[in-house]
Amino acid sequence: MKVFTCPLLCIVVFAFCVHTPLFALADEAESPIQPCSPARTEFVLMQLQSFARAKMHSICKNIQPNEFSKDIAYEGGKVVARYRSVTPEEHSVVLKPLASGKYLGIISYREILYECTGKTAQDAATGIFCPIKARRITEIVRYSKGQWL
Amino acid sequence: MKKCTGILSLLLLAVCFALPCASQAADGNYIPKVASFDIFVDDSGSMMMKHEALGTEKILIARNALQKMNIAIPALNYNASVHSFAPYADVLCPAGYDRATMSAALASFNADADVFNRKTPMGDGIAQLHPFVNDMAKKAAIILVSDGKSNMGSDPVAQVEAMYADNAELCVHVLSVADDAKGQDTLNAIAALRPCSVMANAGDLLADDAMLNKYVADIFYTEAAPALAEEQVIVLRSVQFAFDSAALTKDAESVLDEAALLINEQPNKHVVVEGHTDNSGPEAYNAGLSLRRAQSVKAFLVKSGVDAKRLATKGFGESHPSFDNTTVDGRALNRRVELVFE
Repeated sequence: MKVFTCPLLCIVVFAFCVHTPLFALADEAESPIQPCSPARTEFVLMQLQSFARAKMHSICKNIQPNEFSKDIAYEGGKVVARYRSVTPEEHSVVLKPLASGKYLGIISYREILYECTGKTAQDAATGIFCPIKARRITEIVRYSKGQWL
Repeated sequence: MKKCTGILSLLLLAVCFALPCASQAADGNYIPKVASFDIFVDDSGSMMMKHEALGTEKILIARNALQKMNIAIPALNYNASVHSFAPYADVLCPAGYDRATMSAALASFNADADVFNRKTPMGDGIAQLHPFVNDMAKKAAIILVSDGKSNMGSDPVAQVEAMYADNAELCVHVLSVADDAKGQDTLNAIAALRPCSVMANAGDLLADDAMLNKYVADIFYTEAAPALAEEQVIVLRSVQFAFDSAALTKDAESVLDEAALLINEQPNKHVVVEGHTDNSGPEAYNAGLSLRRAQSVKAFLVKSGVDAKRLATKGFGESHPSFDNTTVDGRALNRRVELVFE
């Protein structure tokens, strides 16, 4: 009997622990800092800033059309070249602690659409581009299990 | 010698009524080209004489052209002053540019001075201005107003060259009332020393508003590019949805609550909820998934207090990629819902 009760007891105890707040806290707290403390908030903000920089870098690297790969269209007898541009350093970050002890992040940046017209695709692609449209983009991200998503 | 008073209040009212109260320069979209400027007026005997072609005393032609210019100068944060030479005098002390104060200072130039034996030591006058110019806030502009007659003292061209040698960010512009070739040649030589110099004939500026406005713009300001109107967009990434599903994850609710707050901060705007996907999978399926996701977001926003009438939904599928679908990161960025304010 004793041979079977010991591992069984371990399983019961383990199952109990998984559902206690103790593990939940361990799940959420990626550092030994107490949740909702100023130190934790500062840590989470640092992570958000780092996340935002990486995101901006990814956006700049992957945006289409871009300065090196412009979109060429034939419109009304003219050739129009266009590309979009984001300046990675020019973004703002706001951390929003929520009542539940969780966090939201607001990343804001500006995307500009540039355009140039010409008689030929070569003229349009190599001419002087002017900004014709701007978008103020706000991304709302959430903090989950120690990382920003 | 005129003392530096900076206050010509007795003339101020008279000047204000004498001048046309026409439109002043619109200042909102101008970028100043200079931090300071000085108007340097030839007050010699030859300027008291009538212009050969125009029949009016040259000093009065100059004064009227300067007054007209003053109206066209935008009220940007220049430091402004006025000096004269032959004799050298401080007419307006350097101070923040004020159109009325400048007008009063310019009004002090008149044709009452003696003509006889009042020669024009233009070079010496420029030399006397030189220390003042060294202390001017840069970039600086001198507007030299003269008939170009320099009949005593040092060479004016050489004196301007000496000023330039000490002041890299200086430009001497010329407003000419010359009525003979020799005087004009002297002024041309001064204007030719630096490419930034602008030359104009005072009579022409009085007769031609467009020419005057261009002269002022060339010296004083550039026009700012018009500000681009910004379209407001909230972007939600695919992490808010279960994989290959239009169902919002539980965790996404806080994100959408925040989006609802932002939408309700602009109650007068409509919002188009646009669903987008990457190019993985069939096009028709992606179009459907993107529309269902947009509708999911709309439903949640309405539940969170956004007026349904303000929200429209569109499913673009993979047809409007904003990012490179050949990279993992690019495909992740393409999987998004955009809330576009209209």
